Amino acid sequence: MKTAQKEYQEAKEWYLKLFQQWRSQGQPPNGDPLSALRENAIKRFAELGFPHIRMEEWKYTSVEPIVRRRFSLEAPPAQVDAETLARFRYFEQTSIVLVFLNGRFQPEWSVIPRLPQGVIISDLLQAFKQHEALIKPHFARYLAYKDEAFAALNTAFAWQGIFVYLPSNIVLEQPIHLLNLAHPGGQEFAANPRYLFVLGANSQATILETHNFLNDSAYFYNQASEIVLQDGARLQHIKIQDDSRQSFRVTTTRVVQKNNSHYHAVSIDLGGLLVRNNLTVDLDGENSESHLYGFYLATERQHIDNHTNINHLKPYCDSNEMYKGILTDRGRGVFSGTIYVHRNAQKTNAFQSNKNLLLSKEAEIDTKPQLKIFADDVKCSHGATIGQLDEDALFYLRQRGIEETEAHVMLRYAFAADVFDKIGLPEIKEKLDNLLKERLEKTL
Amino acid sequence: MLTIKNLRVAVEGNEILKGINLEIKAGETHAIMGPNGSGKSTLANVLAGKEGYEVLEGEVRFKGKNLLEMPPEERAREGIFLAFQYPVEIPGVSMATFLRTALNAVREHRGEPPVDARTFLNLLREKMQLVEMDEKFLNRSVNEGFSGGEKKRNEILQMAVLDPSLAILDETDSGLDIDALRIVANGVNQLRRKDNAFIVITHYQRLLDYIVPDYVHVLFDGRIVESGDKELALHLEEHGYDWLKKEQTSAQTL
Repeated sequence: MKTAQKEYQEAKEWYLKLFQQWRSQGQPPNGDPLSALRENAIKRFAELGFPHIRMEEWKYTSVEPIVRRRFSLEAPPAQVDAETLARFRYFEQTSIVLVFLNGRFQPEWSVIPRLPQGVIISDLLQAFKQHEALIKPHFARYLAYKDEAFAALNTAFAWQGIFVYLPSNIVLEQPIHLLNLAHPGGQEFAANPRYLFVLGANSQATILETHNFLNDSAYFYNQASEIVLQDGARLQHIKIQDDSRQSFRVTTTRVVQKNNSHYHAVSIDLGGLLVRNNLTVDLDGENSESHLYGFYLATERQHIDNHTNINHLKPYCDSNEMYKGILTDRGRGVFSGTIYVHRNAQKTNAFQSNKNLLLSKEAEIDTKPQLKIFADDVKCSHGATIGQLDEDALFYLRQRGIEETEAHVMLRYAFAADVFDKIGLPEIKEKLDNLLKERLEKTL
Repeated sequence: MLTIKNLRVAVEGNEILKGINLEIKAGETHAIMGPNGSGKSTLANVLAGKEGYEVLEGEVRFKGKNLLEMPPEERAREGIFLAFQYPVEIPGVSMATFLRTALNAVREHRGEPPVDARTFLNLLREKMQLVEMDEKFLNRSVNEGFSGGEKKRNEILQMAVLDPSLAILDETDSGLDIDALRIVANGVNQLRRKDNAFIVITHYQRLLDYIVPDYVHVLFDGRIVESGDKELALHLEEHGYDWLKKEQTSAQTL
């Protein structure tokens, strides 16, 4: 039997070899504006290697299942039709829909209606050619690819992705829907989607990311996003992740907020065999606000890990975080939330909570809320709870004639609704409610 | 409607009900009084089907069916309603959703079609007036943040909507001021008919000034030791439960 160390070494070499092959084939095609960055990133990846459970940040999540597989970089050419895509749409025709199949942007299936003057929604590498002055100051500036292996790997291979730019004072009424669909067809592939959203001063947007699949097999998304909110910008960022139960996902997101900006994120994780979300928010401007909500449902053998870091760098900022999880069967959840209040971030308000329902003996949750406070005039609180369904509430519902199974679903739904209610998109509420109820019924 | 024969019930190995016999007919209201710890709430919970109660002996028949065999939701659909002594707060479940789900479950059992949203809302508004509850409660979570009096009125509202054949009021008067007590009692009185029945469990005679019972039973140490009409309640009010205790103790020594 191979030692774990050897496995990790071989996996690293696999990706280094893939990188060399990929580059020698002249990829990405049509000239590469990121050549130097890629070389730096792959060098860092070679030095870092995959993270292991002896590292504090990876103590509860072993990436060994990813390490043991040899994913191909060649995503199989996916076929899709309008009818299939329609199933995964959330909004009416007027919205902006960007379709990604196996991680690749599909302009022909995407819908980009007439945009307000100056708004850019573009393929990533295309954007370097056409809007270099706008993308270059931000791209790879915020993501810690020098310290994090998955971010380094993504940066080395980044070529499929989207650049969204809103000039100052633009309020984009239609939501931007990033519709991701995996259709592996038996081929185990890895994708490295890369997003950059730059919202100019006092601009506003809503982004909905959905992640679905067409056939149930193994694939690996190593996604990385950078989000910049200039003074007074507001972004609502919703994610509904419902990937295959055989798939792997690492998402690394870094948000940088300037004065008076507002970030509102709701992250829903229902799918995936092994999921790790790294979300870091820098409150790097006075009077900025961040609201982070998350819900995870881990059943069977799913493992869902949310790591959040909120950095209060400037005074007068508020952050508010609530993550809730339901764990059943052998499902496992991990929550690690750090609020870091820097020395000069006076008048910070920071609240964090993580609540979990453990519904089976084999289910597990590891939760680690942390406050690191270096300023003296702040209001901060955090807390975590782990519990079972309220038996008294269950009896109360049944005493009114409600079937036991329905009562269970009602109470689980109510638990999750706290987070779902934070999705400020009334037009998709019914669809999401039905999705949630259907999933909860399956947990009985 | 309800026949209880020699019902003996234990909780965690301790016998609480030591042989209850009770017969309740349609159109009747029975009050069950007794000191703390006499087994009043145990009786209510056993009839409603709460877990954690071990029936050692005896039989309960409701409309001719064996009640103790049914899960709680089936008892509810057959027409048993328990107004809880401590109504449970259920965050995240709105009053409207909860009541409509419950009503439709009960209606389905009776072979009636589900109510549509509009009919339901009209019904609810009408019943809310009965207990003087504001409509704004409909959008709130069940009992969440309700005052003690609001919770008890909410129990009566649910009873009015579900229209049970046998309602068991478990110390519905506890913690109510005189105005709330009057509202609750008035709600109950308006629901009394020839084809339904009530069991009113209370510690004090006060509630029985408003909900006048046909029969009064005194529960003491797990047994019904006295039965009578409303005069018995007045007697208890005047003399307390001490005379009963003495009587029981002397009876046991004999």
